[in-house]
Amino acid sequence: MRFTLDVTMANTEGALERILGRLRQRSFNVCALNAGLSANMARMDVRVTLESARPIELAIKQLAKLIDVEGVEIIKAEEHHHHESKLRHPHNHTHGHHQDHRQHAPFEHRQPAFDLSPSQIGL
Amino acid sequence: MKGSEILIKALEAEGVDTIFGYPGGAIMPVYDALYDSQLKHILVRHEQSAALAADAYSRVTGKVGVCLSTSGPGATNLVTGIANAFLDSVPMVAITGQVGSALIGTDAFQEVDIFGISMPVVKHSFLVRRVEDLAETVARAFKIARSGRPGPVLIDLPKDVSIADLQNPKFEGNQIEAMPRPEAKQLAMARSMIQESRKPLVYAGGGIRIAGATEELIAFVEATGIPCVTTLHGIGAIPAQHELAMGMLGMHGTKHANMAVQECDLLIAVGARFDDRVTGKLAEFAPHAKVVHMDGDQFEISKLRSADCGIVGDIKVSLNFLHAKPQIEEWVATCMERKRQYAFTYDAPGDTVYAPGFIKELSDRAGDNTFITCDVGQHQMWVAQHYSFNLPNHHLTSGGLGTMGFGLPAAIGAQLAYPDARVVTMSGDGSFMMNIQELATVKRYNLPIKIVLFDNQALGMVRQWQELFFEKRYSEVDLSDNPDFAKVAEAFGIPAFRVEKREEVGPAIDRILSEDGPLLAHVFIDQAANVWPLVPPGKNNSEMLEATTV
Repeated sequence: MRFTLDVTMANTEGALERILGRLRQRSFNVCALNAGLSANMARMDVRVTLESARPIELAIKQLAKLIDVEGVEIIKAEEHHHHESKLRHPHNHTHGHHQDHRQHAPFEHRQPAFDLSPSQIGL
Repeated sequence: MKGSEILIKALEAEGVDTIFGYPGGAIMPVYDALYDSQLKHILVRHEQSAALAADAYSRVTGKVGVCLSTSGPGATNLVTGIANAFLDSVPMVAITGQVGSALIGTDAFQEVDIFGISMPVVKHSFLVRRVEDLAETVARAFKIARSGRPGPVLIDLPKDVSIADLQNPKFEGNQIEAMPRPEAKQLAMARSMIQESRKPLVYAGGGIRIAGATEELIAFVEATGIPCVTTLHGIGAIPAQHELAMGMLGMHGTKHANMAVQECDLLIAVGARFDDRVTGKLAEFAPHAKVVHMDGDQFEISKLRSADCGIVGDIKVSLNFLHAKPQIEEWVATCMERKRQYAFTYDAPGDTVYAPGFIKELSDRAGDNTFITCDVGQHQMWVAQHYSFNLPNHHLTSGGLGTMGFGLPAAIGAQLAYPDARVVTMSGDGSFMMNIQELATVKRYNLPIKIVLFDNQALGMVRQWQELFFEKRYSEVDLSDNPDFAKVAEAFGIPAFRVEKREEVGPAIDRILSEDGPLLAHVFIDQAANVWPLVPPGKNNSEMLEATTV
């Protein structure tokens, strides 16, 4: 699955690096990246396209945790590389206004957010 | 006022009284300012210990821990301690000296990019470019360290900034922000789920200590009558002897705790994060349970296990609201019967020292005003299983990172915070060597720390896993060439003695509890003694191994 996110953030030392590091650590590959500063240099807008087997909610939560990040929005989701579709209900995560759409998942469909294979668990 | 003086004043404005550090070139201006300061600086013998001691100081006081190092190797030596605080959600401000701004990026002497190196293990980091920003940066760092899920913040301070002058700097200490109130709708939903459940179980984690919600947890458990299991960091959140306390769950949890988790129909996770040591095979963890998950950190809800009801905000408020009265007599009776049936026993054969028995006897005799720190490995799990804690901040253990070498610096931090309390560190012969140099710090400040060093002449936990899961191919776990730890301690000026037989345990504990100053007990234990029960890797918590099954 491939997703494109818009990230709004304060332009502080290392802000872009934090975003990329967090995505790498959580196993999201960056396929495309575009970043630019606002006119007064105080903000940065980042558009990043990600690919991962992990759910996009994990990336959104991890980015939203960063102190510099003010908002994260999914703007595009692709099932296959050549098929793009707009999301009907884009997530919009900002500090203090977080919504978790999985909180009310029906019991019978509840799954771990991602599974850890036995080989990955050790001493 | 110079930048270094501004830093000190800004720390004082945040209520800091004690910092842990080690001087060096790039941080010398700060040490010069410290010379005239009221701050108590504790000189450790390795920067890693500065961070670990600051971590422990924070855990026992609730304040933000502060550590200080120079640039380059001083800064990199801090990193393990910073990561330890990050993984265990401990508020900390780590201050590193940096080469002068003009030299940054030139591979100057003792220059490393600590800002970049530490980035994955801090909540946030600052490189102070202008002395005008310094006081505000310190204030922001403290605010960030304390807020939400607490954690470490790095301030990298170039030498030219610390010697720069600024007229009339302003200092504005932070007020601690209140946690947001949980949503009423979610609370009502949770209360209804609790009322309707027939096999509910509380799963309490380190968030209880962070939120200061021990009293509220106990009141909730007693009002609802729901049994309670704890994580490693949740130990002490409910007194170990409480009738509804079921002990620790997870990899080395009690059998009755793990059975309860696997059978419950409602798991009430309070300040816990479903980590792999707790869940075993995540997909099979608490397979019949709906989940109510309450946490101060919104991002923990449904991170690993989807919650049927997530409650973000002040845990104390949530717990106070959820005093339902479910009909659970049969379930509680089952849990209590299993608790009685599977209680630990201390009648191991032989006359060598049985570590769980030693820990149990110490626990029975030490009293409540005792802080226990430990290192990592078998002894750490024995402490978790066999020491009865009544408060969560009296058990200091490296749970997330699993840092061997945590115990002694942590004891230093705890003892400095509470000089009149009893502080005992329990260590193993592998872990103790990781920060053995801190015996010098214990001696320098004459800290009455009692060290119980369990010596099985091996890296015991790794050896146990090699025995069980690697066909007894014992690879690089032999430590039979250990030094004589009693003589080492005496060389540092710390009295020490050996405990070699089980009959010597009682007198040894007498001495530990009665001597005024520091003391090391070198306790010899059987290498074949293992930690039981154990949930094998990749298995679910109902598939635990026990001594009798191996």
